[in-house]
Amino acid sequence: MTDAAVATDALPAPARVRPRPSFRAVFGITVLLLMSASALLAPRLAPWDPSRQMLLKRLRPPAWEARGLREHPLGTDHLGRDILSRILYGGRVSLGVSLSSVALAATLGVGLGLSAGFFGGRTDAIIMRVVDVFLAVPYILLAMGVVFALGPSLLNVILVMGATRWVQFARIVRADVLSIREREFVVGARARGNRAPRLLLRHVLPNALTPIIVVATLELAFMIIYESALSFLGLGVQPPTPTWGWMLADGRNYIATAWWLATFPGLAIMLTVLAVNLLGDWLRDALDPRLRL
Amino acid sequence: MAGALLEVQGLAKWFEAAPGWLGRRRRVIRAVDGVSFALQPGETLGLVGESGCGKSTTGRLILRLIEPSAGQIRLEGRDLLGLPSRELWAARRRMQIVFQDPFGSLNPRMRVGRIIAEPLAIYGEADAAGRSRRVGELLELVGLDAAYAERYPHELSGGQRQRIGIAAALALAPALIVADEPVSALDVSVQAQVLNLLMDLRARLGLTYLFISHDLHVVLHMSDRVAVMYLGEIVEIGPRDAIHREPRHPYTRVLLSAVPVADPGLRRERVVPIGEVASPLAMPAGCRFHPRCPFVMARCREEVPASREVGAGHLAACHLLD
Amino acid sequence: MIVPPLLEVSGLRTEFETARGTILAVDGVSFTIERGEVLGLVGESGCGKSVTSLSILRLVPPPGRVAAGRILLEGEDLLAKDAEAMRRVRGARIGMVFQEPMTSLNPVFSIGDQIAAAALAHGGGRTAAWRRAVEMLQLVQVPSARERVGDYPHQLSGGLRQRAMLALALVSGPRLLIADEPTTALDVTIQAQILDLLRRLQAERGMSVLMITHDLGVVAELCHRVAVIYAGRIVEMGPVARIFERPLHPYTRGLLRCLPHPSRFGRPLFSIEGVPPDLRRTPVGCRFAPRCPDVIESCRRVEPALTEREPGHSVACPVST
Repeated sequence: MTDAAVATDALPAPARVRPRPSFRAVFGITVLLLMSASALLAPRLAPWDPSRQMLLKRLRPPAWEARGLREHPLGTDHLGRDILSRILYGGRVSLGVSLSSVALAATLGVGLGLSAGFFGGRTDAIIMRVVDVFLAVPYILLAMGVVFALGPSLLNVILVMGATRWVQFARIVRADVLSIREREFVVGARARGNRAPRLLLRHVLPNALTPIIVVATLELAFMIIYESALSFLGLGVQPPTPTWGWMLADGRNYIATAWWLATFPGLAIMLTVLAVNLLGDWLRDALDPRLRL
Repeated sequence: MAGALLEVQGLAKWFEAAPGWLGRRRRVIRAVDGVSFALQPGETLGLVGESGCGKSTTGRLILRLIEPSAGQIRLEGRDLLGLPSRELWAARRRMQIVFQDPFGSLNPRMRVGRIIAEPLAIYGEADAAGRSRRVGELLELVGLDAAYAERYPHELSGGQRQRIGIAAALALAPALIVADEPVSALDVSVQAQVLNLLMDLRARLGLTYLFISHDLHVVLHMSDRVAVMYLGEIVEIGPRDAIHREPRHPYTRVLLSAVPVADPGLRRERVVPIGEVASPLAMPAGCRFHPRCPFVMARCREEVPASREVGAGHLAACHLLD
Repeated sequence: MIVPPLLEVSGLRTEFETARGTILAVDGVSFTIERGEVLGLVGESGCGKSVTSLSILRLVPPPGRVAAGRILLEGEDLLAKDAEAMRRVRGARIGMVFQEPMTSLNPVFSIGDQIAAAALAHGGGRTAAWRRAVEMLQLVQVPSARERVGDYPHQLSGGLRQRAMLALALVSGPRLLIADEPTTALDVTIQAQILDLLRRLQAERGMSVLMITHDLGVVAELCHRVAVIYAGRIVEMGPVARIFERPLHPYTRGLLRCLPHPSRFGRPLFSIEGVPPDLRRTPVGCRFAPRCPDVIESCRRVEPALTEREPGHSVACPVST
């Protein structure tokens, strides 16, 4: 009898073609790799000490301009510091801080969002009220408050940024979990012996990855700007450590006269954010087995 | 009842329609409202009804995938509702479920082999090699090649996915399987294949089924006994042939009359209901079916009919039977 | 004088251009519908029945397009009409009812609004249109039509929504109604009511109906003639009684035999082996050959044409007796 049921219910095995990496992916990965490499290798690559003030050569334009100097490819700032070197070193802070704070925010936010969405009831209510509190307070003010209290340092900046942005993850994960937990494969997994921890980790979380990745890439981009803003306000990493934010802040006053002070850090931020977003898009698709065909 | 595999008494589930304010009465949906039946080992009980009758909820209540509001469930003599969570977890090995939706019932991010092997891993039934072997056996049992273990659910057709769902349910060798609309989402020709498979497995493995479906002919085909549900209650229950040839409850007769038969020559009784199904929020007084019943009497509007025996093992709840 | 058929479809071909090849969803489908006749188009998922109805209405979504064929409605070729002319045809001359009324009805307008809007499009003032809306709802047996005319789609049950859809489809008095799985999403008792209603309306108005469904039971209840479609082609067509009594095509036979039937409850069902073909590859020979229990050698090489075996009963199969 099974033989009749053993229908040649055979879908021909789909050709497993490795999808050609898209332009987005290649661009994103390349840019990020370059950025990360140059950040890591900054001490080797940078022609100058980023804090070294060479006042006689202040406000020199990039090398290709008339008054430019070959030893300062991207020019110098108002204190005669080499822009290129500052960008390279600044990348360390911007990328490092952003990655760490996104990791922190994601861990906190995903964990709380999973709990809130899955367990519901009181857990959900409590977590959501906390989220509301965090959302009600403007994050810059929150950051200011914390940094005032604890003092500006690299670690504090990471903590503050992670601790204020976790809500983005929590909300989106909770929303997704609310719908995932009703899906039949989750109910089936419960029937087959999965208990809450395993259910969350093996069944719910992998299916909630898409929004998490999307939010993570958006947040990474945001953190870079967030850190810049904090630096801009004097709350972030303190000088003389260069950060792209500080450079923007400094260059603000010279936009009309010495455009290169603000433009190059701005470009660096833009490129990184763009690369991260593109990479995130690709990663989200690459991780979805349904899209592999 | 001695020897019954599953005994259900007064099972109920009430949902709150809108959260109540302080003091204000909550509106309650009585999704399942006092369902009782027993399943003997090796038997298939069909649970049939239209949307909103509570049949799917009943299936999930039995497995305690939803917590009942009231009632008793005994599986192999053990009271399921009194079990502490560790023992409930152990009891799950004896009862499994197969779902309707081949698209939603398998984790899209897990390979088929892992889905099937997972219960074995969780219950520590076998080591990795043993599990792999068992997965191969189960796939073969449901009529699929062992190579399918490496595939993802979306690579398979609806019929194949249903087979995977069945294989996963069989992994722990349960005694009871709740089949919740297992073929409703499949094409007719694939439906026949899966029904044949279910019947074959039942014979080979001595399974007991609670077969839930809105499709009356499929239920009649698969079941030894049939229970008809309406708005949370069983209105009639009895042996398959009795229900089919001598339905006693007006709703059963309405159902039988309404199902289109692919046989223009087949004459059957036409019993036409009046109007639409009542909202579960505003349950009619007396007999729940009375607003739609073509044989309604005054008594039906006030008094809830009791369940009466109308034949061997055949019960129906209707005032007309007095 | 012979009255020409209301609808004449010849050699319809509809294809979908996708990244992975061209899918031939409908490949040479031809049929006619007489005035006052109900033709059932029955097949399983992916067979092309819905695409056929969309092709007639010229509503095939891109990347699909009608590649060839003729569709004559009362003698006029619908494929030759421009967008504006086609728009006038839809609604006024061909009414449509689909499976899921929640998506076919606009959720932000009341059903009265929507029906009245359709009535307005054909002349008359606002009051007349509104009155017509109530009349239509009464025609489709919506209880308390006068009160319900202001209801929104989400306030109605599935059955009532489908009745509203019918009212909307019929308000301009079309000669042809295309109903694509109109009762599939409904409970069986409601389905029976809607089928009764359809039968009554069809008889009263002498309307033709193209009934698309996968449910052979619905075909038996409602249709005069039926066309069985498989992998984009019609494999058998004829009067309902004849087809059910003596199906000639192996696929039709297989379909009928694999349904649970009172005469064989509890016994293993006949099942058709295999799966439908991939419509991306233009098959050689009969499309059903890989699954056919009666296949002979020539079936794999030559695609059988739909030929008339008995008056009104055509089959695309050389083997059937």
